[in-house]
Amino acid sequence: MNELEYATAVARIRVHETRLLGADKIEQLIAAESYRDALKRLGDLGYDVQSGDASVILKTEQQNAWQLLCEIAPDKSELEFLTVRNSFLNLKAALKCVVSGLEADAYFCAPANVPDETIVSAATTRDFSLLPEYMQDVAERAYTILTTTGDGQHADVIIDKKSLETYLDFAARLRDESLTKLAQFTVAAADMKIAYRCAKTANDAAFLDDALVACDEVDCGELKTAALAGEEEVIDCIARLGYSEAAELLRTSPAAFEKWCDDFVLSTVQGAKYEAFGFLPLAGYYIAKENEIKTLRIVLAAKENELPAEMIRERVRMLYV
Amino acid sequence: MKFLASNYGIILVWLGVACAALFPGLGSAKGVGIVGRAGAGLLTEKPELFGKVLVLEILPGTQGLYGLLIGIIIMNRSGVMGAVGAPMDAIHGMQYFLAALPIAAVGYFSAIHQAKTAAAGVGILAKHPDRNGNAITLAAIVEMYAILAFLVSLLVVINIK
Repeated sequence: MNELEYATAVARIRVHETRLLGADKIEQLIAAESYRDALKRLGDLGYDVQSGDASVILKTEQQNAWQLLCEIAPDKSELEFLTVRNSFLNLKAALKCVVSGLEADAYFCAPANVPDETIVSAATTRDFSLLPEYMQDVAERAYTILTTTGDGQHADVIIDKKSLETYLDFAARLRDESLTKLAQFTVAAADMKIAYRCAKTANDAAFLDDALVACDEVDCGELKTAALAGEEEVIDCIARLGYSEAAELLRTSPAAFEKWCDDFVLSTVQGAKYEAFGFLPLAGYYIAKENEIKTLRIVLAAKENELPAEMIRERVRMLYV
Repeated sequence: MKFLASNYGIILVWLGVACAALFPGLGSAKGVGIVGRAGAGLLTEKPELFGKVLVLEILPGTQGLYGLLIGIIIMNRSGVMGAVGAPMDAIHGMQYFLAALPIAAVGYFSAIHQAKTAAAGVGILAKHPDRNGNAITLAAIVEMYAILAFLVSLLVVINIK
């Protein structure tokens, strides 16, 4: 799509960017005396805190951000890049719930590009042709695994792999350098986490083959060899692949590594603030909003559990503004 | 063919007039549309900024006026406006046609580029409404090249003997 078609949408996003929370606002929340006080301060910052429940407040805020994007995006199909991975998460939930006789709705993530009803209908009727083409084969395979071997982890792994491959495809279609880099890094980070966890749990080579996703950022063969050799080898391998800072953090704590990954993702879309046209500013805003919500979830959960401010600050993500 | 051969000069003059009015006009229409779209987005959120947005939207419209002026001056100087069927040799016709080209080409492209700059300036207004001067200045600098092209076209037209 012609990037000039985004002129209206980008202008509106610029106004909404001014409402994103900066580091000073997050610090105010951390400094709040109690959970209630933090919620009150969040209300002063423009959040609808009437419910008094952090999960409801944050969910509403995310829904509002998504509705804004749906309202202003001139090409709705480009938004699928932001939601396609949620559809795969919903597929996992639906298949498991169908096999175990549970209601899937409670486990669904939003927003997703495939309607919840379609996924539930495909899973319950085993008519996977109802799903988009990129989901059909993996849904069939996962269902077969769940109903024959009952190996939920294996089903998860193949769906996760297809999810990341589809994410890369969607990014490539957007022809945007920053979003391609974002998708490539997301897959690379997933591969690093898979290799580290597999090394910890001593998974075999076949499992790694099913789990690791090929991308431009990391060499899956090298990661696989390292994962089979042990945790230290994985950390060394990550350092050799050019992520020495991440390797050091992984050695310290997986939580620090997760934070580094989130910060890196946000840094890849920072340039969106300076783009006047195109899809990137919309994607950048939504990723920034998701990041803000994730940060608020950490802060509010910590406040509710009366954790010390220093511990919260260690976990607070980099912010967009 | 005989008609074309005998009226070659006058056809070139009209072609020059058409280029002078057409291309900058197209560029301006497109440019004003681009800034208008960005402005509409901003006004949805902050309607109080209408006046500042309007100034930015007007900027890419000037190229169309420059083109129109050159077109009128060519018609006036060449005599095609006042005296229908006035003789015009091919050399003179070609001179008028070439005189129209700077504003035709530069007017078209500068209007679009100025519009993109002005639309980006709408983003400045969105975040810093008090910095509309910065947004206007950045877009106005693009205007300079349209003015230069207008001057070249004007000087050539008025110096055709």
